[in-house]
Amino acid sequence: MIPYLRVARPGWLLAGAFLLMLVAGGATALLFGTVSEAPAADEPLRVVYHINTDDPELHLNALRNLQNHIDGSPADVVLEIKVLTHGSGVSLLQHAAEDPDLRSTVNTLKLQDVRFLVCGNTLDSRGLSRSDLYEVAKEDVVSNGIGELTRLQRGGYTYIKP
Amino acid sequence: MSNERLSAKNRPSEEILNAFVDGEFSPEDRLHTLKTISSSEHLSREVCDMHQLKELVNMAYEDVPAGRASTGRCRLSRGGRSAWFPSVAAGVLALVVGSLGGYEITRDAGFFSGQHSAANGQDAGALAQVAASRDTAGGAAAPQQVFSATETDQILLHINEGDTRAMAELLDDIESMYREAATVGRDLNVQVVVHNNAMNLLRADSAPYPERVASMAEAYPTLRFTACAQTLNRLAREEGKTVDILPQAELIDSGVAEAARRQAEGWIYIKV
Repeated sequence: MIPYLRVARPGWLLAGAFLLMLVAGGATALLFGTVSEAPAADEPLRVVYHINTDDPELHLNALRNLQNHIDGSPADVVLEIKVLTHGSGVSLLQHAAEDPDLRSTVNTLKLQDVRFLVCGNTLDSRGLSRSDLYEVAKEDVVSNGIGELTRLQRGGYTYIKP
Repeated sequence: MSNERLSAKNRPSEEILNAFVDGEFSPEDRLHTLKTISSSEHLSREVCDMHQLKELVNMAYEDVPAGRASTGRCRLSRGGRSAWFPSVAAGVLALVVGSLGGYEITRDAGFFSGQHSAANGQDAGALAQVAASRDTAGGAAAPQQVFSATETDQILLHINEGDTRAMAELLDDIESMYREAATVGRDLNVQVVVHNNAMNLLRADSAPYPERVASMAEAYPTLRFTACAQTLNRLAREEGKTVDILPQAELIDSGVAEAARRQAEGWIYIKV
């Protein structure tokens, strides 16, 4: 009967609207789902190299890799690269104080805004001071190497262990 | 629908009946219609139904002014067609709202699944603060008071070298991390994955610092020492006997697989 149909209409209307909203929402989800995940183009290149072994050959290879990493990245990208020396790895900056080749490699990287960080715990436990290392400023010493690696990774840094 | 009604001759049209129910007739017309209705039992029942319906509709629209409700009721009789317009309009509106809603939802979902942009906004700020605090305060005091207290850092420390000094430093580092986390009020979740040549750290027969491992495991409930079962199996094959691990250590199927799994879960990975 017509009257009942009429009474039922608001219900149909609501149901229809809901259905349409669902369908439309789902369709746009599919449409935009992939688009929105595209990374931002002007994202800086954030990388941290972790060095914790006393191995001059490994040190040299790691720094060479790092230079290649820089050379291989787009010219307009902002570089935020850190080398974190920790444990036995602090020897990299001890050797750099004596070895001119290693020193110039470190200098070249520093000129490209690469920062060399040192674990303060390591300096304490090994009885080292900044003057034992090649050009380490006060702000290059972090209290805890592992803690710093955690913070950097949390801040979007890619972790590389050469 | 009107077929069954047409069976009765000189039956008033639906429009007339509706107008009658709504009381829109002059007294003469009303009397005439009333006579017609009363002549048919079927018709009077139908009109009675319509009255009932009208009351029901009025009740449903109680907060709407009564006059509106009744005219609306009357207009309905103009035909089913006009009644479709509100629903079409609502549909179009729903489409727009749904599209916007869907877009917003997926944009958020994209952020979270990528774990980048959304997290980055906050972390970039935090990083800037880290850098700033390091630059100003410098050195040992630098990294404090930077992150909110509610978050938990989930860190996997992967060790596979047999250097005892590195093991001691790892334990030092873990203690120092827990101390630091306590001062800034952050929670830590640390899993040490021991693997390959580093297995000594957790071997019951040759662990270099068993007491330290025990006391740290007790002091920090969120610190786990886990040993790779594949390494233990290999060692057992090579040495011809089962290799026991410290009571504080747990077995995991594979150190490498665990490292991969945890990273996929968003854990921070550090190879010591």
